[in-house]
Amino acid sequence: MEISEVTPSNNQTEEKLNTEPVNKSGTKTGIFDGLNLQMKLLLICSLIFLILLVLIMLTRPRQNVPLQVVPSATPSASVGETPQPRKQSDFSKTEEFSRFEQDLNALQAENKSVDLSETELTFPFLDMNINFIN
Amino acid sequence: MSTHLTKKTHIFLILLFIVLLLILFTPTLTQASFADDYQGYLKTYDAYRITHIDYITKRSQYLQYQTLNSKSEALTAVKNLLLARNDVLLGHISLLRAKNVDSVFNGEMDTYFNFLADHKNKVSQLGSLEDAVKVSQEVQDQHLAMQNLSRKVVGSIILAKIETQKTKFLQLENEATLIISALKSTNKDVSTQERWLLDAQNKRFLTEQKILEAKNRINQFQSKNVTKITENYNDIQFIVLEANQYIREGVSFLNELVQSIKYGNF
Repeated sequence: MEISEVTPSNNQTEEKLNTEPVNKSGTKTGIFDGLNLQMKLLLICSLIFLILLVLIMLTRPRQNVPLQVVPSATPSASVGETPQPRKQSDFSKTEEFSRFEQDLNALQAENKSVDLSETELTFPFLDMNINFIN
Repeated sequence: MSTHLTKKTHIFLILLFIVLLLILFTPTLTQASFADDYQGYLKTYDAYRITHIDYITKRSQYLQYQTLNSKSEALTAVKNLLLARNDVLLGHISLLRAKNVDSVFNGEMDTYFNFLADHKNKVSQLGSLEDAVKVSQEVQDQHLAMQNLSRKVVGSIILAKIETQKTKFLQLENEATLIISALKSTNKDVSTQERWLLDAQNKRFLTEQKILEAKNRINQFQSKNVTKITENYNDIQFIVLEANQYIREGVSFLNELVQSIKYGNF
């Protein structure tokens, strides 16, 4: 191994600069050169796997974290509450009013169901042109 | 003596029960009777269609071949057709009679009923194709008049349904007026109820106008062709539907009145 000349002033710097190992032919070698083919392949595959993992992590759909409602001290209306039944007036409980309401409901039902088409009484379609002429 | 009186009372009660049953079930029996008549009418209509197809076939055969045999078959076919057609018209008039509400039309319907019955006798005695054509022409001459009468009768039937509703509505108006007066006498504020009642009354006035318009059209109903008959009848039906709608709106106003009293400070 060829040893470069070291001067006292830049000895450490040069040592730092020249940390790469040098092969027998004199050219500098990389950190992967000492590894065999299997190791190289393993490293490449691991690198590809890591890249893919990072890509998947970045592109997966984010799950919405449900909002947590912090109960507050102030009361709030909820749908589950049943409405208060309306109070009937005293007059509406009289027989006169009840009869009136019943008659009105009966007329309403009659009005809705009345048949004004009378399809059973449609005049029949008949041939009135009887002849034996060509 | 007391046994004799008890027997009389028993007989009286049984008779009363029978009368009550008849009163209760007569509308149902009438409806069932009309339904049966209508089914019978539909059967005659189906029979007419079959004889009409046979007539068309035999007619074209006779016109094509002009043989004695084809002529005889054509005569049989046309007689059957005229009888079937007659039955359909009689059936229709019977249905109109069953539902008719205006006695004014009874005379006219009887006239056509008798005419068709007489026509049936004539058809059974037909001996030639020429006679068949002449006899058929007699019915053809009355056909438009029968259609006009039919539409007038049906128009009056549907109008009668609206008039019945209007009468009930008027009765309800009077009851509502009494109720409001009763509440007013107890120093209650009934201004809202009076407004609802006024709106209902206005709807009743509009209904009465439509009823009058429909009545006039029915009285003047006379058209010279089938298309016009159909058009005029459709106009009458539309007016009657409008009257029905006004009653519906009036009923909704009375409903508001009811709700305001039911849940108000009364």
